[in-house]
Amino acid sequence: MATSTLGAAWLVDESDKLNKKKPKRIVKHKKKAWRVTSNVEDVERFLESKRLDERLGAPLEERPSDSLFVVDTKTEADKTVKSEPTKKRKIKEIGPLRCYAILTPNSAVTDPLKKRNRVRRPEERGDPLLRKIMEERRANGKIPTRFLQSMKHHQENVEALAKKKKPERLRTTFDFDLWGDAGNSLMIGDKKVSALDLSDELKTYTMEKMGKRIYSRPPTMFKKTTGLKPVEYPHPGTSYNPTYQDHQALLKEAYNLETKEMKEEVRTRRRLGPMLKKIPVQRKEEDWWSEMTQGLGDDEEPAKEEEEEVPCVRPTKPKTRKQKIRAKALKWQDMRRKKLKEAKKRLLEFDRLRSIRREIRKSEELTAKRIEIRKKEKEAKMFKPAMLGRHKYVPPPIEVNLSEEITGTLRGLKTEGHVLIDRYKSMQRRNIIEPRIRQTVVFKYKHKVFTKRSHSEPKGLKVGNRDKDKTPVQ
Amino acid sequence: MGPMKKKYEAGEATKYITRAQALKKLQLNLKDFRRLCILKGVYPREPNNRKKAQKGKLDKKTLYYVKDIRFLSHEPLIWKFRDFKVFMRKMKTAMEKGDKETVARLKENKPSMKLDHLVKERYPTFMDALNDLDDCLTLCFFYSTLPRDTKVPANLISLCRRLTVEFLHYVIAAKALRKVFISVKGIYYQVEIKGQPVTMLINHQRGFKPTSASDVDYRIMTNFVDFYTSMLGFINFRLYHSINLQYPPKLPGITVKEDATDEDAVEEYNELVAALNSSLVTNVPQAEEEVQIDEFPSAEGAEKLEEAKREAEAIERLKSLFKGLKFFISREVPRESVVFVIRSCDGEVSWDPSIFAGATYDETDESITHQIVDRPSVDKQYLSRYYIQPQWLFDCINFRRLLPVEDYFIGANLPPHISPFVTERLGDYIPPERQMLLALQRGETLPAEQEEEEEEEEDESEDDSSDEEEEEGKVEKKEPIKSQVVKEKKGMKVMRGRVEMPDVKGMEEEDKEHYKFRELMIRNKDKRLYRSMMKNRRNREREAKRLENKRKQHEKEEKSLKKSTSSGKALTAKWSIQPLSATSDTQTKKMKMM
Repeated sequence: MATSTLGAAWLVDESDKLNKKKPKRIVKHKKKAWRVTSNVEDVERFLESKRLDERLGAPLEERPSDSLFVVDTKTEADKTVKSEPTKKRKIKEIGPLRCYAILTPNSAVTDPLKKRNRVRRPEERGDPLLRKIMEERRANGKIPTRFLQSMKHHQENVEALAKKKKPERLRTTFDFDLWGDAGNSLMIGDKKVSALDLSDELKTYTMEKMGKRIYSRPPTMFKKTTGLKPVEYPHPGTSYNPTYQDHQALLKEAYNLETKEMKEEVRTRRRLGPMLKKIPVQRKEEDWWSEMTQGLGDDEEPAKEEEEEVPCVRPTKPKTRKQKIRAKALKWQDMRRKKLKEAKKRLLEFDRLRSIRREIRKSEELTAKRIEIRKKEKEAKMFKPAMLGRHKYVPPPIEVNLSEEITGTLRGLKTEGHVLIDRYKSMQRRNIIEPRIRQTVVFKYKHKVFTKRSHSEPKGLKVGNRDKDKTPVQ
Repeated sequence: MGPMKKKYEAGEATKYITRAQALKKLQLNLKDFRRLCILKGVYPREPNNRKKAQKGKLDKKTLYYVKDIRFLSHEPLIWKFRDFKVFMRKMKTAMEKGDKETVARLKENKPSMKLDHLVKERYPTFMDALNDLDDCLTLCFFYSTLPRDTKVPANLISLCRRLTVEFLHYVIAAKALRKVFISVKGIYYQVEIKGQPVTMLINHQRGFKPTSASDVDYRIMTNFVDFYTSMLGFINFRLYHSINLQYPPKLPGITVKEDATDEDAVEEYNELVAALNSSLVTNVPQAEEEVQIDEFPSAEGAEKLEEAKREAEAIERLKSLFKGLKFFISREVPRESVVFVIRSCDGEVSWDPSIFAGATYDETDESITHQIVDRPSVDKQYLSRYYIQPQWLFDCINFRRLLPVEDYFIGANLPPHISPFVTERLGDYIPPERQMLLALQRGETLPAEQEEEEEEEEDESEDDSSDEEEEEGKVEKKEPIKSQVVKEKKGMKVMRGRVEMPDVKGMEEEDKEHYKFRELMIRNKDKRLYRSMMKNRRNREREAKRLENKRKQHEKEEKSLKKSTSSGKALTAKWSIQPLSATSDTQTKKMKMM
């Protein structure tokens, strides 16, 4: 076939043939024509396959069959079923990923340059003669003590590491009496801090003699923050099988609380009435439009008038020297007059000594009374949650089973409330932690605004009026 | 005089420091600061004058005492916090680089904290620590029931579980349980340790009820629990040694090496300890000591001493309330609380071994006296034992006496479970069930069943006297006299001289007169207060009377109903005697409660 002998060049001609055109003539005795006309594909294919064989090692037919096949003598049942492989084991079993495996050189052809400088493998390193001697010795069972020792040490280290206790977050073993002798020798801080409130003399003494300052716990820290009990006694109505009266009493309490809350809600609703009014969307839009167009358009002129009406502020005149002297003299006079009046009053008070005594007694009584009242107030304060932060303490709802929920048996008990919430609220009530509302952080990223090139009009290039057929907006 | 002071340079303004300032001063972040405050016991304070304390600023800020914050600055724990911060930073870097070796090395040297010195600092004496035990126990008990997948570290949960079980073991060994109350929230236990009442609230053994983030901040509570675990551990150590028990608790006959590698064996052992069903190994064989109250001639008179004696006797009785009784718990009953209650009153108990480890005998054991059941009916019943509902146990402890079982039989409508924590004021209405409980707590025997007329009379007499306790006292006094009369009749030859009866009526009248005089002597200043007090008391009494009458009416109606349905044969069967009651007082009388 002409196509096969002339190669690709003829392909072009063939298509031309179809178009009934003249075939291109080629000069056949020139070297250039050889390249075009001769076909060496089969030769190249042969060479390629040979190179592949070289890269892969010996051809398959030459290899021993043992290296290619395995005689499966075990039954399916004998094979151990491997458990679900972990991620680590999977990598080990499967080998590196295919995408990486392709990249590694895997040719069986030996390096033609024998002397090429490359990284020696561990077994190639060192003096070959010495290596040979060592191998012989090892074969005879003679291992240098140095090596054995290091192996032993390594083993010991590994064992010690395995035995070593994991670091604990906190103490879990309690093996001494904290309030006994062992506790007394306990290091409190860096020994500069003392557990008990020491006297001032002792503190100054240590400061002078030892040059160390003792910080003791302030006495206020030992005081109780509240008079309430940590675990308050429960209302008898909270029993899982309460008496009728107790349960009714508790229910009434809960009911009162609920009605109070509802009343409060109604009140706030009434107060916020106009703010919570429903406004149709259309009117809202209109309002918005009118609001936004305020001061635009025709009321420019009155604005000018307003400007003119602004009164100018006159600067104050400073006082003259004469005025200053006069004012000073007046001030002095006033003071003198007041002093005289005071002295006169004091003289007169000799006459009313009795009434003064009465006044003093009265005021003392008043202070005593006030002290009493304040004391009582302070005591009462100890039983109330304090205002420790921005938020007020909110008491938890009363836990009560409704009448129909009480089954009277332990099995059918319907639990109410949560111990942890109870503890949390109790701590807030006892002024140990401040009531707070949980804050959640919301990350707000700044939007970067840009216009897409395909949407924007390219600069400097005008392609007619695109909006020609569109009606202009407003 | 010195230079004039500016505003807010003295007084209230210098006493307080805001939280933000404190953070800056201590160079801590908010999280660490909160933690430090909780561990050290530093609380925010409310100033007397907020405007002055905040230096004129009006928004409400969290304030602390300056002195407290200064004291905090010397705490070495702050350095631990900083160490930990550095550790976390290093870890993060190594992790992100994928440097496994460094990660492993860092993990091995993770900084840890010890809170021993804080416990000692906050509670210089053991009694101080006992005073603050309520909170600690309640929180630790709650944390011990948390599921593993909460945000709380798992080892903290297991530590809490271990410590609380140890504490329960102490209560069992010391027989320290005094009161129990089952509420809808949880079970309240009152325990007496060294004369100190400790109340704890343990949640019901139901599924975990998750809380929303707005309800509770777990991080804060975990900080509290961190401290409380250290505290409870040391308290346990001391308590165990105070009653000659080995700490950590050891079960007799079973040995597990401390460094045992087999985790299953350790777990199994821990479960056996948690079963609460066997007594622990003691250091020294304990010698039982009879505690006798020393008699001091006190100014308050013999009455108080008598009362104290009676109280002590009642407690002694409570300690061995279930002695000699053998219980078996059915699977639907909450095991742990029931076992704890039975064992701390000296009873024997077992359960189905499939529920939990540590069961000692089988359901088929013939010597079982009580089986605790909480279902309407049981298919196979043994004749040799009572089938009762769990409330019986709790009521027995509150009444400090073995109650008749009839009311608590399987499927029976239980009598109400009354709170033992209520204390009445003078003139308050006390329901008859509660009156019974009070009387029993004071160590009196149950009143004998009487004819209805007599009962009514008694009621009337109760109405007359405002103070219920006084009345009981009288009954108590009358009894010995009666017994003497009986002895005389038994034919003694030499007649004993009769005690001359004091003129009770005359004395009472005299007392009343004295009282009136004393009322007259009240200062004008205090008169109003006194009047309002008396008025309130009268109101309370009136209310009580009203309620009592209501109750009577209600009971009458019920009785008439009962009569119409069945002639009261149940009454005689009720309140019969226990065959194996360990109490020394003979309860041969047939008793009636309502």
